[in-house]
Formats: sequence, structure tokens, C-alpha cells
Amino acid sequence: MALVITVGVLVAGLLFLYLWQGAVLSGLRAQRAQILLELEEVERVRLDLAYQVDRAYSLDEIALRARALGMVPFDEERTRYLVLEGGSH
Amino acid sequence: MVGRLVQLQVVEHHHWATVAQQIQEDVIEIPAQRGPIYDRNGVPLAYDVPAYEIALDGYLLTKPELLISLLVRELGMSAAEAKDKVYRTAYFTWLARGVDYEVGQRIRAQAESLGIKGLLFFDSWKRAYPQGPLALAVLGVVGVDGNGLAGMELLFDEELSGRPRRIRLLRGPGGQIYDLWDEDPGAAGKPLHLTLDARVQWICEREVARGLGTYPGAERGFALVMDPGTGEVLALAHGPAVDPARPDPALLHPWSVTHVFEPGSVFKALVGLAAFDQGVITPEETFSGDSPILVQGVAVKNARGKSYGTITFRRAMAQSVNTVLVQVAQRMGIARTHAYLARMGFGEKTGIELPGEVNGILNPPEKWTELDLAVTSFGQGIAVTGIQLGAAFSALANGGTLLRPRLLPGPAEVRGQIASPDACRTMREVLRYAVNPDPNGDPSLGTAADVPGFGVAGKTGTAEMALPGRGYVADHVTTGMASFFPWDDPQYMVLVVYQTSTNPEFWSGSTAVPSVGEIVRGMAQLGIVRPYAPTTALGRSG
Repeated sequence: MALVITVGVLVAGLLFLYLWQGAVLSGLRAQRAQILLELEEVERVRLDLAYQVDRAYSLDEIALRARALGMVPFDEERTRYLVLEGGSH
Repeated sequence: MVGRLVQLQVVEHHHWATVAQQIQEDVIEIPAQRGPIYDRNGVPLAYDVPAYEIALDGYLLTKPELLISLLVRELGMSAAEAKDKVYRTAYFTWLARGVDYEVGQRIRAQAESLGIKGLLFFDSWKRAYPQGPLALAVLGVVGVDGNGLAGMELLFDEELSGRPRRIRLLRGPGGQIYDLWDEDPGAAGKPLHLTLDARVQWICEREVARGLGTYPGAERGFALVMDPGTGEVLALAHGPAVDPARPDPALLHPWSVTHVFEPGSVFKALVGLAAFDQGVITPEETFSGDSPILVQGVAVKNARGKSYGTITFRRAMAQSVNTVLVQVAQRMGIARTHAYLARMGFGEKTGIELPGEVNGILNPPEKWTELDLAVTSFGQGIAVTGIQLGAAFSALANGGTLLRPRLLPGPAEVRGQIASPDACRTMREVLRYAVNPDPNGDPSLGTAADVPGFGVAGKTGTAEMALPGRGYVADHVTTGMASFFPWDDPQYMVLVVYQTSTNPEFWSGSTAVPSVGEIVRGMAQLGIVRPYAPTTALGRSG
């Protein structure tokens, strides 16, 4: 009888361990899945931000901002060149 | 109970496992990210950015009036359009596709806070152009389903398109996700690296836009910059520009490749090159520049009917004297002139990587009359594409080797030798004179293209257009200038062409020529080119 009870407790213990570990693994998998989804979202945010940075660095935008700051396109008539003695460049 | 257990677990195992899988598992497909397109320096010209596709399940919808005002506010829809979509009785209605990521996020957040139900959000991609409309006529566009519709996007659609990613989800009874894994990792589209230089392209587009806005009657134009040593296209700008948000299909065809025009006097440089190569003329040889001369009973005139008396070939090129080129072509004869033009690539596609390229029109020599020969000598009676003209001038610039113009990097592809290096050099010197003539002599038509220190050489051209049933029409004009610099060792070939259908006083000297100068100046301002050291007295202009 004691042997049966011992075996029963052992089996129940093992079963509990199995179920407990299974539950932990399932929980971890769910967490991992959630993190992966968040990672996907973060990656999409990163790509969107990268686009905004690229757009801000485009020549069109730079020219627009330069004009807003009061800069004007190059005007040859308002430009004076320095002639360097002995140099051709 | 044991019997039922055996029935469910053993006998009907497969059936119930399938049912469970259908309930618990879900497959979602994420569209492939289309391959990016870069310029020669790695500057991104087009790539995919995250976006949303938003749909509506009409049977789950709550608070439709709030949704209508949300759509009007965030998507700029008209109230009538929003009402039509929202009150449609259907399980599935597209509300908007290709919605910007930030806008989609805002709509999702507001829908949640307002308690609007029934909206379906799908992750997708949207083609974005970080440089704005730069080179859009060359790049082309993609449709809402991500397929290339024009330009490089169409031609390289297979390479740019990737394989969608399939993700399998394991869901709980409440819909919560317990696990996920890639059923098919998919593959992003392959990147495309072009020979274009975004800076040169920007300069050219800016100049074409300026030209169209400044030159009276100018309706469309293009600017082409090539590396004559490799055939690489550094810039191919078309105007009017394409709006990436609402691309006009008519503007998405790079007309420098898909349409033909009569090149006008620009062509004189190529006929003259053939004559130098055959040794039938020299730059200092004199001709009669009187106008008109009769060819098969038809009076062939100079521009504005002007006569020049006795004039050297060099000055005739600088003044663009038609009647002198007629005499040069007559010395060459039909067979030889035609053979040279065919060798220069006219009448056949160049093979540039753009869809819709046309052959141009070069009639067979047996159909040519003496009059055809005469008018072809100054670029009428022949139809060319801009890219053909650019390739031929690049050959003149590089010593006579005709290369395939390319938009993808790779080794130069030789198509043939159009003339000897000596003949090319002689013509380059003549064309330098056409831009920077003797200061004590008559002004030249090309001087507005001269930029001190850069040794620009080139040929101008103004040609009336022939319309079906109307012949040549005075106010339909093509102007152009084909040029290269520095003249003695050209690194860049620049071709600019404009067209009008309203201005009979549309001349290359006041349109294409200054645009060439502005493009060279712009390249210098951005530090792409630097002044060249003089190698001969002609090479130094300032």
C-alpha cells in the first residue's frame, strides 16, 4: 500500500512538474510572441523615422530651409574672386 | 468514457486536430518590402516605408457619424465620399490604402478612444521618395498593389518585388497570441543601384523647371548629363516634374527616350565630324555662306535668311550657317553621310534600361533625295531621341567610341567606332570655338553656355516642328544644345532640349544654351566639378 501511495505521489509530482514546466514554457512563448510583435512595430517606427530623416536631408529641403534662413542662390555678378599670385586654381 | 476518449483521441484524431488548428492558429501575410533604389553614391531615391491599409466591416461598425468625421479630418476625404463608404452594407469595404504610418496610428488611437468598432487595420508598405520628385520620370511609380507601373520600377519589377512573409500565430480563446513563428520568412526585394548622381539630377531638374518657368512658351524640356568615357547617365531630368502624390501618367514617360524630335542645327556637329573623318573638309576651309541655295529647285535658307559671304567652316559652325553644311554634306554624298549617321546609332534603339524606347527615324539611303541630304545636314528631315543624340555626342567627346548609355553600373559596352580620335578632336576644337569664339570676331550662338575655367564646347540648334498635314509650323519649335567639358578631355556630356507650341521666337541661344551654362555652374557650386587647368590656348577661357 505504501509503495502504491509512494508511486502515486511520485507520478503526481512528475505530472505536476510537467504541467508546471509546460505552463511556464507557454507563458514564455506568449511573452516572446508579444515581444516579437512589438519588435515588428518598433522596426516600422524606425523605418518611418529614417524616411523623415532622409527627407529632411534631401537637397530640396535643404534649399528650402536655406532660403527660409535668408540665403540666396549663387549670383555671379555679386561674387568677387581672389587672384592668387602664381596659382592657376 | 474510455471508449469516447479512444474515439476522439485515436479514431477521429486527425479531424479534431484540424478543427483545433483552425480555431487556434492563424496565418497572416505581410507584403514584401519592395527593393530600394539608390543613386551612384548610395543616396536613396525610392524605398518602401510602413503604411496602413484600412478597411471596414460594416456589420461590426459602431458610431458611423464619428467615423465619418474622423475620415474627413485625417484622410481629407469629402463628407459625401466618407458617407458612401461608411454606410455601404458590406462585410468588407476598403476605406483607404497606402495610408501614411503616422496617420494610420492616429486613426487607430482615435477610433479606440472614441469607441468606434469595425475598423480593420492591415500593415502594408508604401513607396516613398525621400528626395521628393527627383528623377521620377526615370524611376517610374508603383501602383497600390506594389507593382511597378512605369520607368525602372516597371522594367525591374521582378527584381524589386520580394516574396511576402507568412507568419503563423497560435491564439488563445480570447484571441490573445500565445506563440508565433515564420512559416515562410519571405524575402525583401533586391536593391537597385543606378548610375544617376542625385546632386547632378537635382541641378538638372531645378534648371529645367527654371527654364520652363522663365522662357516664354516653353512647355517641356529635358536635360541629360552623361559620362562620355563610360556611357553612364548621371542625370536625366524631365520637365514638367511629376508629383509623386498624384503622378500624371502623361509625364511618367521619359520623353527623351520615348519620343522623337528633329534635332536641328545640333546635328551639324555630327555631319561635320563625318566630313572631318573622311578628310573632305578642314576647319579653316572657306565656303559660301550666302542664302538661299537651290537644291532640286527648292530654296534652302539660313536662319532668318541671313547671308554670310565667304566664311570658314569653323565660323560657319559658330554662326550655325545652314548653307555651308549643305555644301559639306553634298561633298560627302548620300551613301557616306547615311552610313555615318547609321554608325552613330540613329534609327535604332540605344538599349538604355528604360521601357518604351523608340528607334527614331532614319530613312534608308535609297529613299533619300539630294534635298533630304541637304536638310539632314542641319538636322531636319530626321527624327532622333534625346538619348541617341546624347550617346552620339558622348562618342564625339570620348574620341569616337559609341557606348551604350546606361542607368545601371557595369563595364562600358562598346557599340562601334563612329570616327577617328583625330577627327573627334578637330570637331571638339571647332565646338569649343562655337562657345568661346575669337573675342574680336562676331559673337557666337553658344556663348551663354561658357563658364570660365571649364572649357565648355558644344553646338546649338533650333528647329521648327513638322505637324501632320501642316508641314513645318513657325510657333512649334524645338531648341537644344549638345555640349561637353572640358573640350580637350571631356568628362561630362550635357544635352538640354526644350519645346514650345506657341512661340515662333523660341531660340536655342536664349533657352537651351543658358541652361547648359547654369547646369555647369550648378555642378561647380556643389563641388562636383572644379575648373580645369589649361592645356592649350583654346582651352582657357577665363
